Amino acid sequence: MDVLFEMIQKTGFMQITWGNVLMWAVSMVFLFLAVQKDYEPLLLVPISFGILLANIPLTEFMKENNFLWVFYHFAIVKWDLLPPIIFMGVGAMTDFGPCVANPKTILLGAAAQFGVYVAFFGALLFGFTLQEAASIGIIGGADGPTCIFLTSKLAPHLLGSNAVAAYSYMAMVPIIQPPIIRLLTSKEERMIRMKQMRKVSKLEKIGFAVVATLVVCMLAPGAAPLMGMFMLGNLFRECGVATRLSNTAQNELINIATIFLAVCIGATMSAEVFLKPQSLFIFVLGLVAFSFSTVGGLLLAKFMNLFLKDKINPLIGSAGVSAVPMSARVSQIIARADDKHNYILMHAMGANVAGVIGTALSAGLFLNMLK
Amino acid sequence: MDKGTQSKEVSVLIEWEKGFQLAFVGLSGVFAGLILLEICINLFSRLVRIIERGPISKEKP
Repeated sequence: MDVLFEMIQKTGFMQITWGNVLMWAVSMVFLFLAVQKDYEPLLLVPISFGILLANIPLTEFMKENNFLWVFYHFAIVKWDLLPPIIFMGVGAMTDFGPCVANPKTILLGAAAQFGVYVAFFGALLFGFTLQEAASIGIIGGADGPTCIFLTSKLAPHLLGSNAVAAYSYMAMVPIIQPPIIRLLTSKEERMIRMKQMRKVSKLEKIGFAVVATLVVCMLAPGAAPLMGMFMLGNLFRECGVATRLSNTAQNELINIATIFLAVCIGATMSAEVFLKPQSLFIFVLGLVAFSFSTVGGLLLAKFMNLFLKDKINPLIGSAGVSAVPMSARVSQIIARADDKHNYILMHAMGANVAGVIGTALSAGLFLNMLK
Repeated sequence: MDKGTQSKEVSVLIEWEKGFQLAFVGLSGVFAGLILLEICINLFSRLVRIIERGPISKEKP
């Protein structure tokens, strides 16, 4: 009887807490959003399951030297392997042609970093440290791997909250951006038609990958792992002689890295870590960051129009928020709502992919200054 | 005001001062970096187009 009693005591049923149950509910909410609403399912499905696993009592997935801890500790926190590998896959899927055809749109990727610094100050106001504030602010860059990369270096204890906030808001771009866009732009501005883009040669695209790597990595060496892998993936795509490598980077490799990254991130969200007021602050600040990044991009586009002969449609400014390709699609949808023959998608994609570079640069500069 | 409160206020002020410096350097660094990238890409693209254009073919719009 003693043995039976002892065995029962060692089951999870006897150690369950209200925190565990609440976190299971949280994981089911994210699973619902992923499956039913198609909110970033490639990330939210494994994240939600990681949350579920981490909150089963006595399983200790994240205890030192246990299964998920090994991936989390070595592949994310200590050696930072997974975000650059994912970025390589993203680079292999990205076409920088619109950026090269109209380099002015690169500046819109810078303006969309405005929200990063607004949220940074907001986080300081809420009492977060400089490192925590930087990792919360980068949510405004709307780039999951960059957010995870920076947070794992500066504030690994916020990894779960930051990553979930970043991916949730990236999925909600079609809800967050349109009201801000309509508030800050007039119908005449939204109806501006832009000239058709010129063709970009293969050599220009290859050159872009090399030049961008050199410029960004020399300015912000902290961004080198991300930026270097991003452009390596892009080089695989654009050089035309490494198709197998490009295919692997944008398929098997990114998928494997995503599975382990997302499960580990979910597994960091135990009840003790997540159920704190600071998690709510992070979600609020994430929304602030996204909103102000949209504002920054729109306002810079309008400002540029004061000096440009060939006006740019300010809608592409909001596409500087690097939720690729969702924010570019939002720009296109809103443009066509006012003028159904206005096609700005490729121009918006230029700003969109420039935003990825801008976010990597922001993260690199934060690392230079805070690490 | 006791010394403990005073030093806490001073450290908060130092933190905010550093925050402003970070934000200023960070945002201007991003703009500077992307402006530099735009200039480099513009120059490189022009060079490539001159090389690829050759003496006969016209550039298509």
